[in-house]
Amino acid sequence: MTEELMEKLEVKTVFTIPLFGGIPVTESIVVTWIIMAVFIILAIVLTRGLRTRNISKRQAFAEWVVTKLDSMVGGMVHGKAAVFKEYLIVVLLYIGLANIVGIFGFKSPTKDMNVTIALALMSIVLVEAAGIIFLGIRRKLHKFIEPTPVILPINIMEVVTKPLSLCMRLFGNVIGAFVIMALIEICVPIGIPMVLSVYFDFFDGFLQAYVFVFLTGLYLTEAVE
Amino acid sequence: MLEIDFWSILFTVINLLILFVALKLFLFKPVRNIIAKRQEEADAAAKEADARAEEADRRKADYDRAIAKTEAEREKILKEARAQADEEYQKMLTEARSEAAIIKKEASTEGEKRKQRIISEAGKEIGDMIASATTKILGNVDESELYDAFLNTMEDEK
Repeated sequence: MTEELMEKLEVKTVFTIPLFGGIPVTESIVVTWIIMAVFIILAIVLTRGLRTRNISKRQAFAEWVVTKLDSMVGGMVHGKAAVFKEYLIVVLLYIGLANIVGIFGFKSPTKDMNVTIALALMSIVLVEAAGIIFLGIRRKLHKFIEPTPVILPINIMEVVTKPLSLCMRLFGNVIGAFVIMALIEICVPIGIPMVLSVYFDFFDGFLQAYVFVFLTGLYLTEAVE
Repeated sequence: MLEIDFWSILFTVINLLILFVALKLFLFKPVRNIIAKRQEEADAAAKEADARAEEADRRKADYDRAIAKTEAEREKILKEARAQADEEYQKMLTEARSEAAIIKKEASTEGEKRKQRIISEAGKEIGDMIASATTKILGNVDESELYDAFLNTMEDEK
């Protein structure tokens, strides 16, 4: 039983690219490719033959999705940070689908810590880069001693803790939900897992995607002000 | 699950960037473009409608002015015509009156003449009647004598 669970948690290497002494391609990367393919194909199919009048249901759906996502993420990034809206939408979509892809029999990429590390790294690089680009290096550095120089160590620590908390929160939540679901399935195999799956797989999955994007948006807004 | 693998991180970063670019190209850009285009069309249509309404208002004002002008002209012409007609009527009336007066006058003179004639005729007839009557009464009296006598008497009486 434990071995079965561990096997499900383990991220296996699917194949190795024979370059630079072998580049391992893990399951999470392959599943990410599948997710990417799904989104890109969906995007291409939905935006085929766009018109201004007499729009098809397909186009109406595409417009609805874009408008909804815009307003949803638009509420998280304010002012100058609004330019990162589309990036945040993409991250939201990716994490959202990655969290629930387990239902379709794939291993969630977010169950692999390397994926959440990459996401958190991208977020913090974006936040710091946005700060430098929008405020200039002098103003950016000055922000470390605002409002008082006393909190300089805390501000420096934040550069590390922000991405760390982003990464660990996402990873921990996904792995936690997965382990709990696995345990429930072992204890009560019928009925209850289905009900709880709605919470742990769907709700928690989307919630964590939302939280990740929300916090990144918050940091971005803060960084460019 | 817990070991950190540089390649996985790198792959994920690259994957996300590709996904970002792809969705921007295939989803956000076309959809936003089409929404903006529709907005543009709607704006243009609204603007055109406004312009047309304005044009219609302008034309209506023009027409109203033209109608008012025509009305005033009509009124003027009518008034003139009426005045002229009135004048003509008065003139005709005056003429008719004077003519009637002349006729009346003529008629009265004629009547007077006729009266005189009738009177004189009547006088003559009466004379004759008296003469005949006298003759009948007196019997075979010389008529001429009688005439003369009568006429003399009449002459005297006058």
